[in-house]
Amino acid sequence: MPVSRIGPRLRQRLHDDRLIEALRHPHRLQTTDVGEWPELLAKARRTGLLAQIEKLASDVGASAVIPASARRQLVDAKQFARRNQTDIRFEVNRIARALAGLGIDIVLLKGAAYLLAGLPPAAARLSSDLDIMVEKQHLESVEQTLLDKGWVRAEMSDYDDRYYRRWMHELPPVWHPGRLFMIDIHHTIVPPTSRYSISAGRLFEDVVPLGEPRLSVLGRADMVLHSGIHLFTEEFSAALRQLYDLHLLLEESGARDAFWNRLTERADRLGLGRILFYLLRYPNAVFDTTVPAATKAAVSSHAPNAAILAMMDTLVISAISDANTGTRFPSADFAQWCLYVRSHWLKMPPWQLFRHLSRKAWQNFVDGFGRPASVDTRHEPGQIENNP
Amino acid sequence: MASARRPENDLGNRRVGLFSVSIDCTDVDDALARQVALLYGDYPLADTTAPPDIVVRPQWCRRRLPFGSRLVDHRVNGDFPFNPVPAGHSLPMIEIGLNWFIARYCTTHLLFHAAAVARDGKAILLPGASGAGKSTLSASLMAEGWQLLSDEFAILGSEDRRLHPHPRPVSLKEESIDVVARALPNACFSNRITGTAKGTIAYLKPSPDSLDKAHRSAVPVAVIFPRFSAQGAPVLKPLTKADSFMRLIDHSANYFTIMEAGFEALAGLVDSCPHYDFVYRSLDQAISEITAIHAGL
Amino acid sequence: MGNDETKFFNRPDHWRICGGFVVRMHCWDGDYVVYNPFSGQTHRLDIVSGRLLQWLNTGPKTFGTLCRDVETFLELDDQTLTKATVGRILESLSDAGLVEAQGDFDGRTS
Repeated sequence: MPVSRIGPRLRQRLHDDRLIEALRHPHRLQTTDVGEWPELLAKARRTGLLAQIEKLASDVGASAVIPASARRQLVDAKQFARRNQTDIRFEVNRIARALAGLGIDIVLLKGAAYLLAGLPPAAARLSSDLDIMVEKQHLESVEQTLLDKGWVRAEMSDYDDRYYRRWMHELPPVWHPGRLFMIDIHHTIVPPTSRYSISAGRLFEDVVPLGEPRLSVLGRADMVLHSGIHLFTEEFSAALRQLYDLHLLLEESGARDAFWNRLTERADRLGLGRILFYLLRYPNAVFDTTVPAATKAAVSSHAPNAAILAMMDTLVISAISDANTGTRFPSADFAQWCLYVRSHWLKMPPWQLFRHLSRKAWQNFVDGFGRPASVDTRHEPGQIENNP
Repeated sequence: MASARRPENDLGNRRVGLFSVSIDCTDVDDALARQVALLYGDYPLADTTAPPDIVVRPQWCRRRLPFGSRLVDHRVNGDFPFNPVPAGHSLPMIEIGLNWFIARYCTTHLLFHAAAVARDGKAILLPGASGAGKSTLSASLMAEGWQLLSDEFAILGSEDRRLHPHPRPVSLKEESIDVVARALPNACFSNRITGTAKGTIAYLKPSPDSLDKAHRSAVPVAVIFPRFSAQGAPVLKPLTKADSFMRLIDHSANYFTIMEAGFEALAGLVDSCPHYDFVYRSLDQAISEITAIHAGL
Repeated sequence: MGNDETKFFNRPDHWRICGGFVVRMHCWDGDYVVYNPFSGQTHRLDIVSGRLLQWLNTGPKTFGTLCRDVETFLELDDQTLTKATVGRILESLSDAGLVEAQGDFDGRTS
């Protein structure tokens, strides 16, 4: 039975969203009205896509015709992305160096993987997290080695997303003083408490080595599946960025022979059929990602029932569109998103989830956490004095 | 709850050195708009057909506290970086909002948290943290006829190695307000604002001369790290270039982000002029010492 | 054998700037400041470390070559002291992400 398309109201909502339109049809940046640029820039900045807009504007030759103030902000974003790429490569180098003595394989995930494997999502992306995966039996020794060599555990005392992390990761993140990355050490690609459990050994059977010794990335199909998982486990405000990354990955991978077969095979092997369904549906609906008809047919058996599908469509589309309007207070969509998607994913009992949400909603209301009223914006780590 | 919008409270786009800025008070009441007009009304107009670099828009916060004054939110280029504040503190938040955006997002120049003053196109950089007294010092120098490039940001061109003016209303604390008012009888001050983190403050409009010269860059001829100390003897100590280099990194807002461009621009600044550590006991002393250094260069 | 001597025997022989980059340097009266494009970090180095880094900036060097350069530069004639000094400096520069040893960059594609 054919799976229904995204409904017309939701499609209109996508069409009305200037940022999504710019991502879908970059050439329209050449004709974007002067008065539309401030909102476009603000939304792009909020969603971490400003450097991407810069790249697209540059690719279609629009830079010369956009307003000077917009051009300046895009150039700034490009520089931030450049800085971030240097930071990621260096952090990976430091981690590999620190763990070299353990003789174990380290799999890079997400942003670091895209960058070191030269994949499109990396080109204009900002990460402040660095995710690595090792075999479960090495988790402790990896964490201990990093702690011995200068990394420290992140403070877990604030009731914020760190609480959420406990349900998402085995270990608290670590960071190296003087540098900006939170290192998350995983042993699998689904949250430890989620209802999906993947045999991590199956992931390791498919990893692809990088040029660097002992560093590798997930097999392409697994990387795409992981990106799909992240669509539902990242923060609400990151959903558009996540979906766009997925689109870029699919476009790049889809050109390879046998990718689509491999993708459906791996989804079956890892028990991620439903995820595969969603991760093909939404990029295709939003960004017209090319998906072969045969693959669409093959995954339709993993579709949820019509009611759930309609709800997911609404949640995803609202997550990536107006939800990022920069309003002061979270909309009802946010709460819905958390309730459904995250309870779906996490085995967090409803009362825990409610407590977590209420706390978060209260935080947003009181707004007492982490919003600076001063301008000490320096967040660079500073130099290392070297006096041997 | 929403007040009527007042288009007449929009000053339009103004040129503040390198940046075009819009402080849009159409959504709030006249009192704030008048204060903003007082401070920014003489800044040159920037092109109104093009979007400005920075838009700061105070607006009434929907949320109300059970007691006390209404709160104002400050939208900076579409986002709300700060908690809402009582209406009386809106002016400082506008200033903070501008500082926040510039410090955070500018990558085309090397920015320092520093004051900069100039005479005859030759500028002195005065790096210092907030509260180090650089505002009072730079306002006093301005009262002596110096051009105020900025009391907040010294902006060094990566390519041209020159200091680009960024004159903004100077934030002065209570005691300093009287001192500067005496030295500068024609000075234009905002109303005093009480209960801020820095106590009572007021904003001093930059001198007409400073605004007139804001479009022209100046060549840096000295870097002086000033520090006020009521006790002890005043000290002027030359710094080694490497010392000054590393200290200036600490005073920079964006050195890290701009990477090698920052390194080379900073090396150029260090190469090209002398650098001093300066502890002073009185404003008069500071003014005469700085004037003497400048005259000798 | 003492600690320093053990380190000497286990020391890698070939050294280069991390990632095969060229670092930017400025020197004033023997004080060096260095920008490392590989890490994006800035360092301050003393005259000996700075000179050593400057030599490595011209291309990979062996440990022995670096020792001979330092000997000449500082007019030393105590080989053990030179080796210990150079060894310590290289370790420090390696910890700072400025230089790397043979084992680190073998087999790398970049």
